[in-house]
Amino acid sequence: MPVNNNIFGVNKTLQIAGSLILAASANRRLTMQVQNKPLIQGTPKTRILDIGGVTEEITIDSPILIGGAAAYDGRTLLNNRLNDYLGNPANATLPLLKSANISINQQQANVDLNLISDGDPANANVFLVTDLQIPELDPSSSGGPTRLARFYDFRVYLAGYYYFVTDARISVEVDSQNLYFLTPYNETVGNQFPTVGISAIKISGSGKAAALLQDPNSSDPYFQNPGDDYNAEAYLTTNNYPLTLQHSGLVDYVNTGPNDGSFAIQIYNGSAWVDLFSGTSIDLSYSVLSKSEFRVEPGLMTVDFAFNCWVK
Amino acid sequence: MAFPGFLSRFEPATGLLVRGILVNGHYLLTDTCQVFPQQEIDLNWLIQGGSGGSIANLGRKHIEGQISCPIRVDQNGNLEQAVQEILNNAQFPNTPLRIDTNHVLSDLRTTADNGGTDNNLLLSMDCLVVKDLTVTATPNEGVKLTATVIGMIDSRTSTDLITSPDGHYLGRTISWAECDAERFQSSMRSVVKIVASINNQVEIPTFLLPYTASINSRSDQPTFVGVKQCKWGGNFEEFLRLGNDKETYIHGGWMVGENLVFTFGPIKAIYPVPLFKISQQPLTYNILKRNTEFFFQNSPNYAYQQGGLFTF
Repeated sequence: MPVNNNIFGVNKTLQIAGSLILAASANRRLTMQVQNKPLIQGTPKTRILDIGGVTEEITIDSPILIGGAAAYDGRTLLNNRLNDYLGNPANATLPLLKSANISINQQQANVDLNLISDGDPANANVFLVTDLQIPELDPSSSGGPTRLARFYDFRVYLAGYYYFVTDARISVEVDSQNLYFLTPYNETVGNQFPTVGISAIKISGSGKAAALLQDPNSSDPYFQNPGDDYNAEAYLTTNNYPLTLQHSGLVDYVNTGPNDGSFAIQIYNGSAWVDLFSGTSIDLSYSVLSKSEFRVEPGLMTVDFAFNCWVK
Repeated sequence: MAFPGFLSRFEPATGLLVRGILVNGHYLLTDTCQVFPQQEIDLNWLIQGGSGGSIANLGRKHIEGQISCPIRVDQNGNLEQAVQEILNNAQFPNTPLRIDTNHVLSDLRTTADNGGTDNNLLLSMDCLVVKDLTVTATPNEGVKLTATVIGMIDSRTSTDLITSPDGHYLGRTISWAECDAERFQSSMRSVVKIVASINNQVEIPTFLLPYTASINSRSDQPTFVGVKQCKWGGNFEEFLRLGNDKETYIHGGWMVGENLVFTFGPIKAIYPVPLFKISQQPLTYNILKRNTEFFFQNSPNYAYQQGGLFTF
C-alpha cells in the first residue's frame, strides 16, 4: 500500500489573497443559482432551467498566534482585510471580509472569518491550497518559536469592565451586496460573476465575567466602574447601572477608560501591549453597554454582557 | 584497594536527604509527597505545510498532587499537628494550606516567556486546599492518610527546610487496634476496614488580564482557588458470620440520628445523618464481606465550621 501523506491538509498551506495563513480549518463554497422553470410546455418533465449568478463564500477558523509565525494568524488576516477597504478602498481586492468573530477565553483565542468573493476562476488567488512553506514556523528562525495565544496574553477593558473577565468576544460585520449587471456593450461575452459592494462596517462585542459581591483585593466589585462609588445619588448620574442609560438631549457612553477609551482588547506581542486591531484605522473609543445578564448557579456566578461601539 | 563491585562507586545520593515536609509550618514524615507545579503544555497542528509539531500551546500553571503518610502520635499521645492541619483544611477549606518541601522547584514567571531551567526556586506552596482526602484503617496496613491538594503559589516566599526540626520524633504510627466503628443500630464488631473521606469540588479559574496589568504582572497561574461543594462520606467493610448483628444489611437511604462514628486513635469522625448507598454483597469462596458506602447529609453551612467532621 503506497504511503501518501498528501491526503492530509496538515501537509498543505492555505493562501488567501496572496498571503499565507495558518488555520485550523477552512472551507470554500461555490454555488450557482439554478432552479427548474416549468412552463406551459406540454410535459411535466424539466425542459427549462433558470441559471443565475455565482456566489463564493470562504470561512476560516484560525487561532491567534504569538511568536515567529504570528504574522500568519487569523488576526493578521482580519486586520489586512479591514485595512484593504478602510485604508485603500479604491484598490481593495477580493475576498471581501463579510464578518469576523474574535473569541478570547480561558481555553483559546480564535478568529472565525467569513469572506466572500465573486467565484470568478480568474481570481484563483482568492483561495489557494499550496505547498509553500512558512519559514517562520522554524523555532530557530529569527522570530523565535510560535505558540497559541492564551489568556495571559490579553488584557481587556470592555465597556467599563476589566476585572475577572473570562470571555471576550468581538464581532465585525460588513454589510455588502452582490450586484449582477447586464453585460456592457463593449464586452462580447457576459458572465455570471457579481460585483461586490460594501455599505457598512459594524463592530460590537460581548463577554462574560465572574460576578463578585465582595471586593476581593481593592479592585472593583461586580459591575462597578473604576472610580465610581456606591454612594452616588442615583445610578443615572453614574455608570453603576449595568446598561448605559441615556439622558434626554445627551449622548451617554462609557468613557471612564484608564487610558485610551472605554473599549480595549490588547495582546502582548512579546515586547509591548498592542491593540487587537493594531495596524488599522479602527478606533473603538466609545461604546454603550446594551445587555447585562446576571446568572447564579451552584458554580461561578457570572454576568453576560454586550456592548455596541461607535467606529471612528 | 577499592572494594570490588558497585560499592566502590557508591555515592550518597537522595536517599540520605530529608524526606519530610512542612504543613503550615509543622513537620510531617510522609511516605510520598507528589505535589508539583503542573501546566498544560502541548503541541498543536494547523494547516501548516507539514506534519511537524511547530506550534506550542502553553496553558494554565497550577500546583496539584498527593501526599500519603501514616498517622502518628507523639510520645505524649498527641496527634501530629501537621495531620491536624491537613484534616482541618479538608473539612474547612476556606483558608489556604501551605506546604514547604526541600525538593519541589518552581518558577513563578510566565512559562511562555521563561522556559527552561533559569531561576528555579524552592518556593513555599502557600495557597493550597485539600481536594480529596481519605483516612483508611485496615488490620494489615494500619491507619493511612492520603490527601490530594490543589492550588497555586500566591506569594514568592522561599522555603527554608534543609533539615528536620530538632526534637521531633519520638512517636509511633497508630494501628488498627486503636480504631473503632459504631452506629446507633449496630455495634459494628465485624468491621474489617473503615474509610473516612472528603471530596471538595475545587475550581481554579483563570481570567483575561485587567487593563491595568503591566507586562511584568502577567501570570499564567489561576486567579482564585474556590471551593463550591464539600462532600463528606466514607465506607466500611464487614465480614459476615453466624451470630452477627441481625438486620444490619443496608438497602440504602438516610438514617436520621444514626450517629455513625469512626475512631482512628485520637481522631474521631462523626456522621449524625449518614446517607447510605445500597450495600454491596459479593459472593465468593472466601469469607463473605460486605461493603457499604455512605455520605454525610448535613446542613449547607456545616463545612464552614471547623471541627465539623473530625475532632481530635
